[in-house]
Amino acid sequence: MTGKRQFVLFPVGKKRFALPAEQVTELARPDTLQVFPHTTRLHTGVLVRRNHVIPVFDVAQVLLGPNAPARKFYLIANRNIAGHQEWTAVPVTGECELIMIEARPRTSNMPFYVTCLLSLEDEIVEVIDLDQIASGEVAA
Amino acid sequence: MAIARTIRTKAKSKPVEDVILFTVHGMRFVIAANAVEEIRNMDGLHPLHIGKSTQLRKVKFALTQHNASQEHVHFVVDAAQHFRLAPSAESNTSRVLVLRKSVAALLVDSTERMTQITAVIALPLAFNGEERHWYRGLALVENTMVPVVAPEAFLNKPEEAVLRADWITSHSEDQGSLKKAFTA
Repeated sequence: MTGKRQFVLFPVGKKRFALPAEQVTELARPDTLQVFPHTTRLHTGVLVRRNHVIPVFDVAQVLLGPNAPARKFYLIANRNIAGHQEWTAVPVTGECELIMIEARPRTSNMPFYVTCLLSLEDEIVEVIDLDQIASGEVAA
Repeated sequence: MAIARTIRTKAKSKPVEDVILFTVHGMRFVIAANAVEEIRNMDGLHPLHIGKSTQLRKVKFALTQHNASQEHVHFVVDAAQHFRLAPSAESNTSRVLVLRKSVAALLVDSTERMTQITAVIALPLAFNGEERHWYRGLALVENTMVPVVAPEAFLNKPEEAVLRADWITSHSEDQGSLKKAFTA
């Protein structure tokens, strides 16, 4: 066993992040964001795709801050919420890439939502945990 | 001769619910039509000044209605404040939805029309804020997801109690008839 796993790399602005491939369902093209009043942070509304109502979880605000560039696509990922699996749409800025690589452990000074690191040729990519970002925001 | 029985099944139609489509600060909502007693204009509203309670600042007016020997008081909740909508230039409150079997009424910008929905879709679990109390779920109206509001969420029991006490105190010279107003 090599310890290699599949990850989906996605760009948010000039930086790339990753999610474990088993969490990712699809990359969706721009869709109509449907908004309604709510108080859940980082959630901007819902998408309706194939009879699913999918919450849109805009993690760019945490990853890059308020000046993150406009997001064009949606990465549809699975989240475990209170023991239930639920799809979540994560807005990203461009095309995604699937890679097979061995992850490196995170270092202690990494943000709380980084689970491990991917060492590519000329970049280090942070693998993020959507549930950690959500719970971090709830706690905030 | 045996006659084979055929069982005819009626084509099952989807259950429908009549709802009223209304707008607040450009946002659309629906509410079950059977939760609304009356849609009226803003005539006859008495301004309320709720002093200390931040939570009750959303209650802007009282509406008294007389029928037969009884007087009913409804406390009019500003829907925009209830749903935490920022003040908007689009805002133009002009309608009051008086809720059935409730002391609450709802101040909205406009009521568009009645329509029907065939399903109330549960709010995704990712939404974990106050919206879980505000809405019964989401419904598809003209290809758009619109929240289906929960009528009981506009005023909870403690809020009702505070408002009733406030109202009775401020109208203490006529307490006898006012207490009757809340007996319905």
